[in-house]
Amino acid sequence: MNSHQVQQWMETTLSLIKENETTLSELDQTIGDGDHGVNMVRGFQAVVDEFPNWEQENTSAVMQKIGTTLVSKVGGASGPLFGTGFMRLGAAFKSEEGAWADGLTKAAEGIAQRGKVSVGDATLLDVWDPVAKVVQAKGTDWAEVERAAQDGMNGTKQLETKRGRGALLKERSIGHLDPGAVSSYYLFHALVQTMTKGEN
Amino acid sequence: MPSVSIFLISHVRELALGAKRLLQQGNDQVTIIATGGLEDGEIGTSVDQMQRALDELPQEDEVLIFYDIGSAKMNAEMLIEMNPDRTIAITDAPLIEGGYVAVMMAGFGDDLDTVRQKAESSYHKSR
Repeated sequence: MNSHQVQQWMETTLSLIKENETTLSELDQTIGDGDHGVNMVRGFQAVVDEFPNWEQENTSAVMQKIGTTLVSKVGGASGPLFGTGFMRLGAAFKSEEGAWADGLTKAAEGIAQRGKVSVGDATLLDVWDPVAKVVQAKGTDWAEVERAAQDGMNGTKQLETKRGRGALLKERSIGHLDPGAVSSYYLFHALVQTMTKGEN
Repeated sequence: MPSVSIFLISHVRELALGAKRLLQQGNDQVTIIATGGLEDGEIGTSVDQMQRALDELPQEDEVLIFYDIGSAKMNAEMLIEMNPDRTIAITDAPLIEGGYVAVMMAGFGDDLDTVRQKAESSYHKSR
């Protein structure tokens, strides 16, 4: 992935999140404080706006800057979580060899540590972790990445939310998609679109 | 001179500043810094803003952080990682009640661990 593709990835992510801002916020109103959509738009808009300043940077540096921008701008818990994911990804891209498998695995580990979450807690980790695992197992098979991300997102509907304000709802949180998992799906869907552009 | 400074982090600027105003009543010699909300005034916490506030404290000050809700704690943890040369602790004790006890204890010259423990035990006792 070159830094131009990273830019496309971020622009596609932003437009998906913007299109679905209301849906994201509505999901968050059910099990959280209702600001997920606006927070994510704010964060990814800031990332897209910053790109002209990063023209000289390589892929690794750009990913790390995306991380710090998300940490600064998102405002809610998603900032440090998505931000940590990108910072770990960026660190892995310093060496090109096996960067995706290594980077996604370290990103998922970083998110788990930062949020003190485990797989199955109905959080964004339920998308990041299966994506990392499928890339570990099969390499960058983008159709598999798409499936893993989508299944991970849909899986949060059956799970009881264990972290954040959603945890107060206990079993009442079952039946709702986790907003962080949904926006993580958009992020990986945008990645798949970027990486398969020109194919087919 | 108290060696422990108190850092209040809220999702809302007015809440952080209001809490500081109230807590300063406990002891006006203890340094209290407070940040809240995003740069544009929206609800949230910003690690950049927290870093700027921290930079105003002398390097040797020990810092005890109080926060309001969950994601502020995550940002506070990032702040600690970004400042490995500083002595900073986070407490889950409530911003106002715990913070008030901490200001009193810091004013008596207690060290960071003691201030933190007293803030936390006073909270549990009152429940």
